[in-house]
Amino acid sequence: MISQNARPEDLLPLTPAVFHILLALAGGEKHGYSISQEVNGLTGGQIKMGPGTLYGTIKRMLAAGLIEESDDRPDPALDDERRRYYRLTEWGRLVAGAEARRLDGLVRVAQARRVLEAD
Amino acid sequence: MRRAERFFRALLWLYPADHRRDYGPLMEQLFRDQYRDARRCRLGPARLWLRLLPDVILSAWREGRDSWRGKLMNSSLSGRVDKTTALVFLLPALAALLLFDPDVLQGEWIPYGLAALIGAGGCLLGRVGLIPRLEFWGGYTAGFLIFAFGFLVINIWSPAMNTGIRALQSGTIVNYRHALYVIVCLAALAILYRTARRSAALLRIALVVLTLNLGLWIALHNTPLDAPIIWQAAWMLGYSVTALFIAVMGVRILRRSGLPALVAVMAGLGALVTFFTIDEYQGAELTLMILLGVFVPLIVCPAWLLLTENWRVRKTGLLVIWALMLFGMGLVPFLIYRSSGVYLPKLNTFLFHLGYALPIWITLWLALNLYEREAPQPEAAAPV
Repeated sequence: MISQNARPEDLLPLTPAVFHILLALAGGEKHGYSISQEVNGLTGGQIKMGPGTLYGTIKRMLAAGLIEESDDRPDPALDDERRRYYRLTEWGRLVAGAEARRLDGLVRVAQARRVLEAD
Repeated sequence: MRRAERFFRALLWLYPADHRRDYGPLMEQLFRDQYRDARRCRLGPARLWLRLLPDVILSAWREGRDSWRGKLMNSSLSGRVDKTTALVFLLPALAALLLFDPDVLQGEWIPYGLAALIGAGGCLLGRVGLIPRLEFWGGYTAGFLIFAFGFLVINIWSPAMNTGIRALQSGTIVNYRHALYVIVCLAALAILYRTARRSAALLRIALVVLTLNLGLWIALHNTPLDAPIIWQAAWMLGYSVTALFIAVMGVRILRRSGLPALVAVMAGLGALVTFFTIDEYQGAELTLMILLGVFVPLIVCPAWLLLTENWRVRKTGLLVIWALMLFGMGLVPFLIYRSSGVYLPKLNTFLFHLGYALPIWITLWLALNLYEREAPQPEAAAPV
């Protein structure tokens, strides 16, 4: 449930699982398996989401209004109709943007303090 | 692949029932996809399991915790259910107190106390949904299962409790304590009747009172005399499972037939062992009583009900179950007299019927109300 006065910043910082799923869905609606593949690809194989984490997180994101189930189905010939598709809500896009800006700010601090040069 | 899928499906029972219902098939589908990918390299399946097992355990714990918190929040919102939870927690403890008899226990009170604690804990955990698998059967029933297990433990641990049917004949103090226990349970039922909001909840409560009553009484008084431990265990198992089964039957009204059918088989085996045990140790007339009072109503009728989809037949079947049960139990004083020549004291007979007839008829009434409400209505014609 989203309160009318809620701000995206109120939900920050996001857990890595939530942020990765938001990023995965920013590229378009996806079902569970393609979300897990996308997250795997985005993180260079560092994060592999299991069914428990993925659907537990999706459940909480649905409840928070960050994502929603999509009724649009791809070509039935290409799709298994038992799959559920998810897409980003406008609220979810705002929250993802706020989290990205927060992380961007941290990266700038790291750059200013020459932490990144240690590599 | 199929074995791995079956194992993963079994792991899903670690999750709360609502989460399993909403996301179980999707999680299975994702597992199939990931397992198919993992099989492309030699150690892939092993690596996948190493990653999946902690994932399942941690996420199941998280979902269970959230489910529990949600229920507690709902409880605190209503203000009434908190009292119900407290009452359900207290019932086994109160029962233990009422049935406590140092003479019968002969100093072996530790296992008795442990069993009461196990039962109370089981009821509480089942009530708040912390036992995800047992939540499927209803928290109260889960509590009873653990409670029955506790009594099975003490019955094996403490053979001094096997006072047998002599306790009923002689009218020992345990019987009066039992009657008091029944009255307390009925009072609790009356309280819960006013506080519970749905008839399904009422039925569950009535059934747990009946089941606790039946299971406790039989566990304490009816174990075969001088029987070897293995027979006693079989007897307890038979009664515990059949009592559990009848509770499940009432609560779930035969909506699902997979696991209930399994329970029916287990109950049938237990009752079969019981049947021969009674024949060996307590004579043919008591065997008849058990056959009419327990075996037919608790095993044959439910099995018959499982096989039919007709609601009218089910309703009739429920009536037959309770009528036979009442009839069989009503034969007890008469058959005791026939088999041993001992009249039961009038008060004992009265308490006996109070202990069985009243909860049975209350439960029957609630069950029939639920049937009327939940019977499927004729479907409207679909729009063209």
